[in-house]
Order: sequence, then C-alpha cells, then structure tokens
Amino acid sequence: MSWELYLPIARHSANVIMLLGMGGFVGFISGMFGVGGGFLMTPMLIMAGIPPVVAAASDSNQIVAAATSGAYAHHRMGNVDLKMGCILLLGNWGGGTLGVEIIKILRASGGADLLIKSTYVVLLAIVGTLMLVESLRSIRRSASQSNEVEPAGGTPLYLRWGQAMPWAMHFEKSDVTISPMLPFLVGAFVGMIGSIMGLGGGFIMVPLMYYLLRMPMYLVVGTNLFQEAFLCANVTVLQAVANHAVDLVLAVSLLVGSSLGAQVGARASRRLHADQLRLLLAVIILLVMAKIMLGLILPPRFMLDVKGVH
Amino acid sequence: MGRNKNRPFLKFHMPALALLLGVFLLPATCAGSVEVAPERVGIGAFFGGARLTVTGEVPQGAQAVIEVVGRTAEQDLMRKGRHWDIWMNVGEVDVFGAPRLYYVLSSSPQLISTANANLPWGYSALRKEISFRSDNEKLEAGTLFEEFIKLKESQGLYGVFPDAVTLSSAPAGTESLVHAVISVPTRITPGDYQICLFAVKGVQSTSTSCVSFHVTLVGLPAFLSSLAQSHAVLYGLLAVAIAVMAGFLSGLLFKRKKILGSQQKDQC
Repeated sequence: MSWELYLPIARHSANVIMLLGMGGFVGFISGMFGVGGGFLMTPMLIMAGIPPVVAAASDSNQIVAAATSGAYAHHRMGNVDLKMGCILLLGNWGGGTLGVEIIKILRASGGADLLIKSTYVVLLAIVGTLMLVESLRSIRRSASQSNEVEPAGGTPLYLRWGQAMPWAMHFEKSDVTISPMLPFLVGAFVGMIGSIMGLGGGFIMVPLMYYLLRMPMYLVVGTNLFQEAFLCANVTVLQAVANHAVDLVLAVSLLVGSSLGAQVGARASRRLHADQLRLLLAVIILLVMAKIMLGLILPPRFMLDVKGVH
Repeated sequence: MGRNKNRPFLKFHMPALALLLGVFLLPATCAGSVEVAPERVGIGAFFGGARLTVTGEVPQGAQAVIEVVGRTAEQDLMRKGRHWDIWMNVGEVDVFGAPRLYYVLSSSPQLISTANANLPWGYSALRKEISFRSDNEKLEAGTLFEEFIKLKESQGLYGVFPDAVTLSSAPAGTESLVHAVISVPTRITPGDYQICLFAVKGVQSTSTSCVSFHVTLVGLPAFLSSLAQSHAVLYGLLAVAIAVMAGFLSGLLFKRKKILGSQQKDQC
C-alpha cells in the first residue's frame, strides 16, 4: 500500500506520516502556548506543496480540533474565562468581517500583497521582541530572587485608556475590572489582522490578553483556545462555501496528530513556568518572522507562482 | 488496447486508407499503431502516481517521439517582482492555451532539442500555442514562458525526456517496436489525456498515431470531491463536526488515561 494519501480538494498526494507529524508538532505548540498554530502550519503546508488557499482553509479546520481539544483540557483544569472569551469572540467576528472588506479593496488596487507581508513581519517582530525582552527580564528578576514586584513609574498609558472606558465590569475568573469594550476592541483588532493575514491570530491575541487585559497567563491560554475554536469553525464553513477550499482528508490527517499533540502540549505547559512559556513562544515567533524576512529579501526560486500565495 | 480498436471502421479500412494516403500524400500523415496500458487510471484514497506503458511500432530506420498532452485550461498565476528591495507578488498573469500536462519523450536527444525551433513537438512547439496576459505591460513574454515551464516542471506536470523511448527490431523485420514507460504524477487532474507516437526520419514526422487514457477519481476522493462541489454547506458543517468530535474524543481519551493512571497509583 502506498503511504501517499490523496487529497481530493488539493488534488495532490502527500505522505500520511508527514501529515500526522506536522499535525502533532503544531498541536503540541497549540496546547502549550494557547495559540491555534496557523502561523506555523500554513507555511509548512505550502512548503509541502499544498496550494496556499487549500492550506489556509484546511488549517482552519484542523485548528477547530486542536483548539477544541486544548480548550477542553484547559476547561477541566479551570483555565477558561468564558465571559471574557465570549466578548473576545464577538469582537473577533466583527473585526474579521471588516478585515475581509479591507483586503477586497486592497486587492483591487494591487496593494494587498505588500500590506499582508509587511503586517506579518512587523507584528511578528514587535510581539516576539516584546515577549522575549519581558520574559528574559522576568526570569532574571526571579533568578536574583528580588522582592521588587513592579518598577515605579505609575500605570502605563494604555491601561489608563482601558480604565477610562465606560461600563466597567468585573471578570471574576480573571479577577480584572475593565470595560467590556476593551476585550471587544482587542478581539476586533486581532480578527481584522487575522483575516488580512489569513490566520486565527492567536500569536497576537495571547500577548494582548496578557499585557492589555491583564489576564493571568494560565487563563490566557485556555480562553484564547476557547474563542479560537469558534472562530475557526466559522472560517471553515465560509471557506467551504465560498472557495470550496477545505480539504477534509488533509484536515483529518492533521487533526488526528494535532488533537493528540494539543493534549501533550497542555500538560507540558503546566511543567513550565509562565516566563519560560513566554520565552519559548517568543523564540518561535521570531524564528517564523526571520523565515518570512528571508523570503522577502532573497530572490525567489520561481518568478511565477500559484495564485493565492501571500 | 488502443483507441483505434474501438473503431471497427478505422480498423478494417485503415490499411486501405493508409495506402491511399501513402500514394497521394507522401509522407503518410496517419499510420502505425500505439497502445497504452492501463487506459484508465483511478485515483483512490491512496495514490502515489501511476506508471503507464506505451507500446507501438514505427517503420524500421525511423526514430520515435511520444507526446503526452492534457486538455488546455486557462490558468491564473502571480508574477513576482522586486519593490523597495522586497520580493513580492506584483501582478496577475493569465495563461492561455497551456495543457494541464505535457511530456515529450524521444528515442534520440536531437529530436527534442530546444535548439531547433521548428520541431512540431516539445517546448518550441508549445511556445507557439501558449499566450500570456498580464496587467503589467512591462513583463516580457519570453521570460514568462521560461518561468512558466520552470514552475510546471517543478510540479512534475511538464517534462522533456530524451532517450526515454526504446526501439527494438520486430520479428518480421519491417518495423521497429516502440516501448516507453510514463510516470503519471500525483498532481494529475481527472480527465482525458492523449498520447501521440510520431515516427521520425531526419527531423520530419512520417507518421502519427494517437491513443488516449482517462484519469478519474474513485472511492473516497470521488465522494468528497462531489460533496464539496454540490453540497458545500453540508460539507463545511461535516468538516467542523468531525473536527469538534476529534477534539473532544482526544480530550476524553486523555482524561480516561489520567483517571486510570491515578486509580492504579491508589491501588499501589
């Protein structure tokens, strides 16, 4: 029997062991850091020869499984803030719709590709660097066993804006009192960026939930997976209807690996300190950013490419 | 079994027809025979490509060229370019008249040399058939053709294979037997494909014979492809339902494993 599994929508065969391995690796990352893993999986699938549109759409489908598995595991451990997750999800849907319209306008004017690529690099660089610096500082602080909790200097500007917003409410689980507008706007921003870049946007959502919404790291991971499962389920149906781009065989192969990987990742995350988790995620984000940067700088192998490649 | 065997009229009248054409239109334009096995390629759940065996006959002393051609279809591609020292997609390119699959095999390397632009087969012939339309007028068509071929060759859909056709003497001694093996890539799309055998003397084709093979989806790929096209909403919901169930199932499996593990610990 051939190990080459035929993908009827991608119209191409791929090695079944490779697909299971890719799913397992990304699922592990997903369960460990609470990100969907789209920023890793889609480029990996394109490198494996899957058409980009099919890669992105099928990846959304497998994220549903990884996020459901991860969110379920975190929910059992009490790591999901459902109230916060629902508000983020509402914002995400609104922002996602806005992002699709922006991309339509930019595609018509020919500026979409530049926007997508520059947004990718800039965001990954900012998020990765901030997380790296912050986690290193935090690890050094705990290593020196200093008792200084917060450096003097008052409340940051973005927090003061957040506190100034109306209808402040208390989120018991996260133990924060903020306006629901803040998580809604965070969700809308990530949804917009995510739909422009064709991703779930978990790698932006996670730092924003931690730094801007001031949620504890253990809740950030579970809550993000919760809202990402719903978001990607919506994207899967839309992609299946609008583009016929969801390859069920590809998605199932990936999700078998990713569902198991997510469970292992969720358990591994409990063995690591929050600062170590952030440091690892920062390194992964910066590596992905460096890979995309090289792709922008080095001359491509082919001057023509299949439509749909960012 | 070749396509000609499905046509009794041609089978019984071909020798007379060939003789007639041979007398009045030298060299002959339709003679000899070619067969392909298998004639149907089924793409099932596991598909690592297929191997087709092409056999035929050419007059003794003639060389052989085999051309494998798929149906033409408009293709939309993106053109890469450099803006502000960054490589990116700079515009769309529509490709017309390009076959989905194109292979040319020969018994001698000179027969498919790209140096000879007048050959009726190979990339030089293909260049005359393919046209490009781009929203960027600055792009040169010559470069686009070369880049298009490079892309297709990387996908395994186009190829030039010198010396891939073997010739051997027939027992009767008047004709040479032709044999070639074609590897069908996994990216091949369902549909009809044509294989033509050219008998060549010098660089002129003296006879041509064609046969076709059919590629079709079977089993699970056929079912899913049809469902995705005809019932897209149902297909999308099914995809989500499977993903959610898989997510919960793996969660339950791990939970069960953990409970069993803790029970064993308690017993110890």
